[in-house]
Amino acid sequence: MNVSPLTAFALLALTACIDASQAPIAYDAVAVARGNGVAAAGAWSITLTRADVALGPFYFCAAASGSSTLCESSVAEVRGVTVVNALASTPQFLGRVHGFSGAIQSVSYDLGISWFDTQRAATPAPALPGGHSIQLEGVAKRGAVSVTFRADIDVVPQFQGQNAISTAPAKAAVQPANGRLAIVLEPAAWLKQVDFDAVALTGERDLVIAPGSSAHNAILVGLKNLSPITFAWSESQDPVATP
Amino acid sequence: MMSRTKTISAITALFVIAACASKTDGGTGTGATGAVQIFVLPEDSIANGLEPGNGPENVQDGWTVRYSRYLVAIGNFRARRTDNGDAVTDPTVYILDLKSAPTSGYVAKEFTGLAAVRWDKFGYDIPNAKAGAKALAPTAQADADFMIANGYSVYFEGSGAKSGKTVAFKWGFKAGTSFDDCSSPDGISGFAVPAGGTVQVKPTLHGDHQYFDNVTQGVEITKRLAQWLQICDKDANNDLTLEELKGCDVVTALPQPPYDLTSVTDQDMDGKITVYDYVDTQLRTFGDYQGDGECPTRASLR
Repeated sequence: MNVSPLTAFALLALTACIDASQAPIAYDAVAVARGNGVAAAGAWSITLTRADVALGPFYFCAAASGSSTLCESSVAEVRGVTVVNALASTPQFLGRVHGFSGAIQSVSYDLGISWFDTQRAATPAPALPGGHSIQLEGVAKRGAVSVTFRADIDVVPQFQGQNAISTAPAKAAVQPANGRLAIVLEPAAWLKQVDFDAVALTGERDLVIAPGSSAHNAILVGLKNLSPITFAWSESQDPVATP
Repeated sequence: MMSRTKTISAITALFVIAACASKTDGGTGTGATGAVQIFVLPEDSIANGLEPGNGPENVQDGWTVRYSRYLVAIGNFRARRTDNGDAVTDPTVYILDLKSAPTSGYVAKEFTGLAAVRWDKFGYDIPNAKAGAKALAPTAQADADFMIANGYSVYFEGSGAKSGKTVAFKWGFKAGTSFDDCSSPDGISGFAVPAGGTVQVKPTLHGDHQYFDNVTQGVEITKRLAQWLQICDKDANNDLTLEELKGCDVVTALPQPPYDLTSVTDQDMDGKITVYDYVDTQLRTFGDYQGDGECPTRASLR
């Protein structure tokens, strides 16, 4: 086909005017546990024997805030909900991240309980451990005093259309070569604001932590504020365990 | 005579060149200029307080809040065009007495000779006050000296009242924050300069964020609650101090639900989340734009 110089120039000019597009990419997301299930909370030492955590879905945003009102479309997402053993010593496969290359600055996400625009109420995913976002078991010790605990934690979105964690920092310049997203959690540290001194004063030694209790609120503070989940992208292609 | 193909190619080339050119000159090609005046406005919640009730702007757990003094450091106004990188900025920081603000607000700055196009990036700082910050009349010099001496970004005095009980407070915070990417309430970023005219832009400071039941992101989907004023007054002397806020556990004062404490951070680094951290975090969000528009890109200033 013959192309005139003028036509070629027009095509070249047109090409130069189009912004470079972001490449669609997909890569693995894994859960990585930190802390070996141990944390200090004041004079108390906490040891977890069980930490089942429902993770997802996750929505990553190019804007500084990942909230639904400021980030109407995500740049990457993990759509499913996966329950992981947050005491595992090896990374656990969560699913595939589907999205585009380019900048990510924030994330919004749920822990298995979502409240989409199409739902009348916050709704747990079918796979949740015991119907809750998180189930923890362990023991808190202060000298000779020992309190065992079992916690059912629900992390519920405050409003319809928002995620339970409406925005959190997650910074990356994702390239097609990025092989893996690590979602890092330290569940023992989520108990740092639980007032075990007050529990000990009551004489309670086998504590059941249920939604609505002070200890449940304290664990939400640990999860959202003191030791929030963090996000790291890497080129690692190491094999991972499947929950 | 030029062939049809050549004619189309030529027209296409000219169109594309023109279209690309319009990306870099703002699309005016006229050289026209205008001005922008920056008014700092206190929201009604600072001037007249908050009322109890069930309306969206009311305090929903029955508290009435009034401010008797409300000082803020604000400045470093800046605007930029992302199409060509042109920028204007003025690093001046002012101390403003928001309770004595003129009806139309403080005229803090005017930039003149700006290209008559959209300047799509606007931002400003609410910094911790430092030497050199200026009192803008009718703000008293003594108020500026007070803010600078303490390094506050914001200071307010007032009270909350409910059912015959009144809790007074006098709090200063070093919650210096930059606010950028400001958009009007309908989501239009920055401002448009009219040719030969002046546009008014209005950083708007809100006095109700410390009573929100979440840290809003974008649209203020929230309720206002103030029962924590009484919960945190541990000695029940009706004078709620910063030290009491620092000892007031959010677990009991701000239970989830109805609160959602996502984005509250340990501002005083004491290893616990208290109501002090909550109020400090909210005072890093109270800079808005054109009324209820947001400046969603925020960063801490030291």
